[in-house]
Amino acid sequence: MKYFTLTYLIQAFSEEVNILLSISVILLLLSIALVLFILISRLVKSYHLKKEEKFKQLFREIIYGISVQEKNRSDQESDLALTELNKNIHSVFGQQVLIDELIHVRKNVVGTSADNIYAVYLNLELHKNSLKKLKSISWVTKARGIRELAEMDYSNAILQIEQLLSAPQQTIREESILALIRLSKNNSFNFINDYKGEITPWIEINIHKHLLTLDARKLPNFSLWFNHSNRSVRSFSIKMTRLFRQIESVPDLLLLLSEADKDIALLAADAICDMAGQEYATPLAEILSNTWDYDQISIRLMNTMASIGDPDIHSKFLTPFLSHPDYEVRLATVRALEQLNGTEQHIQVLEKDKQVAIQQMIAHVNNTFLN
Amino acid sequence: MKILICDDDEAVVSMIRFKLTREKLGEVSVVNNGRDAKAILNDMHFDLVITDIHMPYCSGIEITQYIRETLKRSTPIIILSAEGLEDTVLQAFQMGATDFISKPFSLAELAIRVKRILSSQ
Repeated sequence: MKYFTLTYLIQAFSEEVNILLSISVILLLLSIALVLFILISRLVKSYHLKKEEKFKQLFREIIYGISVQEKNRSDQESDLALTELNKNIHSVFGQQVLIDELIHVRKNVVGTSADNIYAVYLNLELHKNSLKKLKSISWVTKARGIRELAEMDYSNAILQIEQLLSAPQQTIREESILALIRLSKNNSFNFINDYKGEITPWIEINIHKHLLTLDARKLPNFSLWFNHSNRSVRSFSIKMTRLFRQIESVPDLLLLLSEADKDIALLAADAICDMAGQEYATPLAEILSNTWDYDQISIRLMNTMASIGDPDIHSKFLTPFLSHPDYEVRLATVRALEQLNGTEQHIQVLEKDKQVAIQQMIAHVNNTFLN
Repeated sequence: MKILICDDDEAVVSMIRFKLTREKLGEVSVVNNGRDAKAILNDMHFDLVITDIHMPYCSGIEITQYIRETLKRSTPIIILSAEGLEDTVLQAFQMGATDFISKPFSLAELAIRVKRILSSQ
C-alpha cells in the first residue's frame, strides 16, 4: 500500500522529475481553471442575452403602443404603459435595455411618435441614468451617455456636455461636438467660439451628415469662424461654407487667399473655384498677383477665371502668369486665356523662346485628342 | 384590404403594423427581406406594399420593378428610405413607386397617406 502514497512517490523520484511533475500539475490546474472561466463567462453572457431579449420583447410591445398614440391620447392609457415599464427597470441593466430601445425607435420617427418616446424617457427619469454616465471614469460609458442624451435630444444637458469638449480622450471630445451640434436648437454652433480641440475628418463627416438633415437656410454663416484662433475650426468652417454653398461668403474667402497658412488659403481657393460666379470675377482677378508664389492656388484661380472671367476686362490680370516659373501654372494660364479670347495676342511682349514654348502649350491645349 | 410591409428593421415594421392595425386600415403582413417579399407577392395579392429601400437579398427598388415588370401588377407601392437623395427618389418613381417617405417619418402622416391611397382604389 505504501508504494502508492504521495510521500512515497515524491521520495522515489529524483528532484528533476518532481519539479516536472509539479509544473505539469500546475499547468493542468490552470487549464481546468481557464476552461471553467470560459464556460462560466459564456453562461453569464448567454444569461444576459436571454435576459436582454426578454426585456426587449416586453418593452417593445409597450413602446410601439406608446409611439402610435395620438396627441390627445388618454392619460390613463399612458399611465398604464409607464407603470408597466417602470416595474421592469429597477435594475441598471433593465434601464439600459429600455434606453437602447427608445433610442432605436426614436431614430426612425418624427412628430408625435418621437415626442411620445421622449416623454417616456423623461417620465421614467432615464435622462438621469444618461447624465450619471457623464461622470463615469470609463470613457466608453461617458461616450455612451453623451450619445444617449444627443439621440434623445435632451438639450438640458448642453452645459454638462460642453465641459467634456476638453476631455483628454479624443472619442469623448468627438462625441461632445456631435452632441452639441444636435442639441443646439437654433443651430448657433456657439460652442465652437471657444473650441480649442481638433475637428477631425470623422467629426466633419458626421457634422455634415447631420447638417444635411436640417433646413439649409437655418444653418449658421460659417464665415464667422474664418478667422478663429483654432486652425482646425477655420478649416472646418471653410469646408462647410463650400459644401453648403454659402455664396455670400466668397468675399471673405477671397481675403483668405493671402493667408500665411497656405493650407487654409488652398482650401479657400477650392471653395472659391466651386462657388464663385461672374460677379466675383473682378475681385478674384485683382487678387491673382498676390498668389504668384503659391502655384497650386494660382492654378485653381486660373481654372476659375477661365469659366467666370470676361475676356475684355480680366485677360490683362492673367497674362503676367504666362511668364510664371512653374510649368503647370503657365499651362493653366494658357488654358484660361484660350477659353476667354485666345492667348496669341498676349504673347507678343514675351521673349522669342518663351513665345515658342507658349505656342506649343496653345497647340497642346487645343488638341482635342489630349484634352 | 391587405397590406404588405417589407423592412428588415423590426422596430419600423412593428410600429407601422401597430399604427395601421390601430387605424383599422387593413390586414397587415410583414416580411423582413427582399427574397421573402418576392415569394409572398407571388402567392398573394396585396392592395398596398410598403417597402424599405435597403433590405437583405434585394432592394425596395427591385421589389417595385418585380411588381411592375414581372408580376405586371398596379399595386400601389410606398417606398421608405433613410436616404432622401434626389437620385434615389427619382429612381423609385421611375420604377413605378406611388409614394416616397424619408426616414425618420411621421407615423400619423404615413397612416394618412395609406388611407388616401387605399380609398382611391
